[in-house]
Amino acid sequence: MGPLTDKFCIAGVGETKHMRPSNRTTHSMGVEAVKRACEDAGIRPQDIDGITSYNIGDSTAGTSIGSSLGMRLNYAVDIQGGGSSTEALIAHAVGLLTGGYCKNMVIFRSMNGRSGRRPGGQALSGPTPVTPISTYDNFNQLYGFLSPGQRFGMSCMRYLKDTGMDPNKLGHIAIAHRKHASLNPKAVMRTPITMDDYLASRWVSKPFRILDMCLETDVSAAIVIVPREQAYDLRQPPVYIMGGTARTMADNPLWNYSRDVIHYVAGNYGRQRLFGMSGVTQHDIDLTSSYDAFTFTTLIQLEAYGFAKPGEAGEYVASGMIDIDGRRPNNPSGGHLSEGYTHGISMVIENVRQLRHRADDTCPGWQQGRHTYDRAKGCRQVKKAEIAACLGWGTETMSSSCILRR
Amino acid sequence: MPGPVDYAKIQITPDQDMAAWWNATKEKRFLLPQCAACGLKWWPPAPGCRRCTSLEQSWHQIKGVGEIHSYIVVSQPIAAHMATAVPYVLAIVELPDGTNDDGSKTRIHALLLDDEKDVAIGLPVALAWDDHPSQPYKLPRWRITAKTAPGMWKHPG
Repeated sequence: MGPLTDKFCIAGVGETKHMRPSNRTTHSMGVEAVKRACEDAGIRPQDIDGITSYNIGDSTAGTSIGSSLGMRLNYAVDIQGGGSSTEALIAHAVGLLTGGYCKNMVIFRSMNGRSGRRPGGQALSGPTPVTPISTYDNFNQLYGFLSPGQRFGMSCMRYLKDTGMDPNKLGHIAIAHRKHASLNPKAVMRTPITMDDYLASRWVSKPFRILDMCLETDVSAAIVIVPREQAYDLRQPPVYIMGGTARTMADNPLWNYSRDVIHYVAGNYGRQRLFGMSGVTQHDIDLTSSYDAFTFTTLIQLEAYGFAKPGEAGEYVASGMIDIDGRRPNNPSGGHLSEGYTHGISMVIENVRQLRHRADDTCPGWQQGRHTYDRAKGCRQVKKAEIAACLGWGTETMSSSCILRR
Repeated sequence: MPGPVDYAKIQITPDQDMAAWWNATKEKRFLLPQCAACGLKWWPPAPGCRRCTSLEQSWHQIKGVGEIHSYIVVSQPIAAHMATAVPYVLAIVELPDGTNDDGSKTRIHALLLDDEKDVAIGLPVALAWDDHPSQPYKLPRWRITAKTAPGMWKHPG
């Protein structure tokens, strides 16, 4: 165990609806999400004194959000970061709270990922002129090689060759997450899909079909973190932070392809730090969240973090393991593939709700933690949810992750 | 063969780290950054040697042959200048003369002149160049030079 294991907890979570389009500013959505997370925790926004956020130049500063909610902030910073930033900012919060830089903290992400800046790099109207080719960073735009789906596709294609995995096994991830979304009233895509549907879906960037790719939504979401001694009389059962990592590789994030095994990702290096600090093993993990911007990013993370043996993640996802009633469900919300896209933060939020045993489904008693576990009646609560692993993904070279327990 | 790339929609304005690389393309030379102290070659032309941390950089001109290490087939264009090119194949190409004395490889991205039906991991490729309609820079392309290779593999779908 790490010296700070279980000393801090997630006390509140909240979000806006997933919208397409929102017709709102990221400021307005961010204020709503932060307020909802504070209400969920039972803390007045004016009593929050730390705020952090992450963005890709597409959002509103935490100081503006805090100001709109009457916060007098002792600590505020916004970072530029990708899809594993939530887990990184959780580690960051634990350090800051330990040092007394602030007494509690809210983390948020607010983005118009559909109607505003789309992470894939294209405008809603269609193919978009690229910026002048100036730097080594944007050299790839020369080739129209600029979306995450194209970049991660290179790693996926070589993985398929090196492991011999049947590419259709990726479909099991899309199918399982869609099934989970069908139990999630918040989800955008709720109609179940079959393998036939998956195989009939069009190629966008082979090896990825459209059903391998996440949604684009306009949304904001937020998490409130407090020291455990502040959590005794809050509104929700606390969810404790056991440990985490924000591991990167030495490779340039946009150019991991230039050497070594291109599908050997940062999670392989973060794995020992994550489990070592948390004091548990993969066998202790009841459910996972894995950043599913693409089916493949979930697949490779489950392998990198040791839930599947090298080359066997395809079998892992095809076995039913990741189904809500499987041994270790993954993304019971439906994830980015089917619930909506939040750049990572909603995966952590779903794990918090699951660990509280208060998945917000259609069970009449969900707010009190009473569930039917009857999927036909819309129950989304995982049966045994004591410890969860959140596997963030930035690129192949960046992976922040954390382990949470009830 | 993929459709034409509309280079008129592309403007090349190299920054200080990329200027020498782009200038060499005017003579159809493709350079790799190489550490002047320890000899390591790498890609892309970002400053600093990851092995010895020297900031003294020279350049190595590649012979212009390589092997496809991975590829994707882009059916949906995102960049405006590629809208007329779809479907096109992007590859990661491993350069034999990018191999370093510690065994580490150097790989680059490549826009192929070939169609998906002809592509496979493991096939050899050779460098070719496109012209820009209004700028003096040349644009690298790569062409598959054999139909088979040992251990070749392609996506079954």
